[in-house]
Amino acid sequence: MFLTYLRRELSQRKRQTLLVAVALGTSIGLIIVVNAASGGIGDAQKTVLSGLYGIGTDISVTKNVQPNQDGRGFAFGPGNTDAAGGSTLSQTRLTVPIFSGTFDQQTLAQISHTKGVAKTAATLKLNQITFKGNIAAAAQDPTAPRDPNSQRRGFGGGNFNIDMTSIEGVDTSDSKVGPLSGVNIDKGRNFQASDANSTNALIDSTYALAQKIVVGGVLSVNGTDFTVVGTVSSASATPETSSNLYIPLAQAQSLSSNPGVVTNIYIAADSSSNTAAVQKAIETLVPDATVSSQADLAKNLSGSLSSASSLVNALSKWLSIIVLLVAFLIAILFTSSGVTRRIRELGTLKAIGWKTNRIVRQIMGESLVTSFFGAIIGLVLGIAGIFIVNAVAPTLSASVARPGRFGGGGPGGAGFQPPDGGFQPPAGGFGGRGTGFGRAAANATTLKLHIGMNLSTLVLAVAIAILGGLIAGSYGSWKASRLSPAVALRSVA
Amino acid sequence: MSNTVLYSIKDLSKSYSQNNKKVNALRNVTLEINHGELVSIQGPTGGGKSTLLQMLGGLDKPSSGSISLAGDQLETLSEVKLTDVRARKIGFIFQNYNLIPTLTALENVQTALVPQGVNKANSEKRAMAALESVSLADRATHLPAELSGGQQQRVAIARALVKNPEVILADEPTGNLDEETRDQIIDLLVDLNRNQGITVILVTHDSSVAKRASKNLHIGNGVVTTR
Ligand SMILES: Nc1ncnc2c1ncn2[C@@H]1O[C@H](COP(=O)(O)OP(=O)(O)OP(=O)(O)O)[C@@H](O)[C@H]1O
Ligand SMILES: [Mg+2]
Repeated sequence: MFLTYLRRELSQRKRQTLLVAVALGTSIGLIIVVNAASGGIGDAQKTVLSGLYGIGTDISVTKNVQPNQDGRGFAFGPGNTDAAGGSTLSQTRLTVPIFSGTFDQQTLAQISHTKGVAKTAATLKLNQITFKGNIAAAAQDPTAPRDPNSQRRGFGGGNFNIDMTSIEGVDTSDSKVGPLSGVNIDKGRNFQASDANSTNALIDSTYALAQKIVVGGVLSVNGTDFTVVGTVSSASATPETSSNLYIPLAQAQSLSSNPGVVTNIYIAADSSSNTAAVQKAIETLVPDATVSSQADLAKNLSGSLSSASSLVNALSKWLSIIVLLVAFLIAILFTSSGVTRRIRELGTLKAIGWKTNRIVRQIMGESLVTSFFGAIIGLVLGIAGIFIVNAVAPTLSASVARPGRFGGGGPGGAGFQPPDGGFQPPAGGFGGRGTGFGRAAANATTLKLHIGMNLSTLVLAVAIAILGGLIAGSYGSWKASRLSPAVALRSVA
Repeated sequence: MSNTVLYSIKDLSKSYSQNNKKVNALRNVTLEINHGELVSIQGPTGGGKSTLLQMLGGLDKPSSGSISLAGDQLETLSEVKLTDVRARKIGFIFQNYNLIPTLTALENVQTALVPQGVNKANSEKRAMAALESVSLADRATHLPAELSGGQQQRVAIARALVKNPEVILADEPTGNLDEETRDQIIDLLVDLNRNQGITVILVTHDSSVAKRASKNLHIGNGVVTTR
């Protein structure tokens, strides 16, 4: 009788059944789509970020310092005087980037032993700046008139180049976390443990192309020749990796006279839910460090991807809550009004001897089956919605402000974009033919949004629909349980 | 059988409070009803007829006094026990038929067997027999909306009958029916009483019932008088 009555109730009161099912279904369908979109955008962000920070990295630790003005200038010895009386100069400096602070062995050890840290990788980021040029004799005359276009003393028509290469000393034995975790080996091979003290190097494919260097080629780092054993590119949409050249950490430390220190620490937390706690612990441990989680790094993203991300994140939370509340309310109201409409019917069943439990079970069953229909409608709508979003596939653009990266460049100028922005050296000043520093500060990327179905979201959505049925059913059956069987005798129902 | 006491009611009162006003629906009712009686209850509207039927049917508890049904002291029973008494001993017939609109005639009759846990085949067989006894076997698969008022009330009588109750309580069972149908229903109930010995207590304005009844009760302003 339970099933017969249930089936009859639902099929003969189709409108109410359908209304509640559609309300629940629409809401969970929407939740599925919005959550999937949110997940898709999160993936897109990860793709962009992994190119910069490595795939397995949850937290990155760096230190920003005020630039130390001392000892950073180029000290030119007397050059070779050429026939015209000018000088040919060549100077190479290998230093940590001017805004970067360093961490010593002890700090690194403390961080890697912090609770929740699964893996760390430490690197030493260096910039090698090579100044090569020929300066006309006049320029060397301290009494020469100043360049009218410059605040600085002008060079009187020299001809020189400034080359900057970003070099990263890496742990050659493990690339599960850190800058090399997200890269593809295009040619040659990756580092291996035995490379630790070698003079082997990996080179960024884009940089290699520009510099016309192939695997087997030789590059000089502060006077030491390194052999390129492989070229690497980012697995993400942006092909460039975080540095131009990768050399064993020990080499980077000794060549730059920075024994035992590192600039970047990449951390994989033992679980993603732990990330925030680990981040806090490290912030306490090293108060002057900049500790960034993937979420913080994602904030460096700008462009439609990041707008979509904040939109969808806000949407997925509030829209889900509001839509759910409305759907639950509809389910509750209709179930409750259904019970009110059936007062005499339910009272009669009580009068002829049906126990309250049996009537509660009946109402509950009706509500649960209705919500189950709702779950099915929701799944269909949700999956259809995901297909539609992917078919329409909005293209999103992202630009990433790359922390600590030299940029700008171009003739006679140099821009520098530290993570907090803002430092811009006086432009111009070099009268000669300059060479730009490094690459652009911001990398613009476009990617097509692809949102995927996530089994746990689907299961959750079904669970939410059933929960709606449970709540509505509970309210309805609570009302029914309070009915007196005497209502059966009331002449007006 | 007909000389054993079915209902024994002593000093039974029922009052409702409505808008802070106390309504005495039944006042100090004392009466006995024997097995196999046909009892008619008459009286003006608001007199307390339905209230008395509620007490007889264990649908509500009295405010004071006692009422026993075949040994069960109804005013002392828990809600669960009272439900069980209703399920086994009492058949109800209502003025508005009170059939479950989404269930067929047969299924409506079967609802009366649900509390007793009668298995499906048995329940179908008994429900069908009950429908046959009210000459509605051919309408077993019809929904209430597809039946006339008289047919619906006959289904309701079958529902009351199917459990072999001690007593059938009917509250104005013919109130919504035309004259011809009214006679059919009354005849059916009188037949049940005469041929099957079921105690029938019915509230009715029909004076023809009063003529055939073994006991005529009149209720006015909550006071019961026997005629
Ligand atoms: N649930 C209730 N709450 C408050 N007052 C009630 C309730 N049920 C009945 N009454 C009152 O008790 C009195 C008796 O009502 P009852 O329904 O028993 O009368 P009745 O004789 O059946 O009338 P009718 O012929 O109109 O059916 C009336 O005054 C009625 O208003
Ligand atoms: Mg009445």
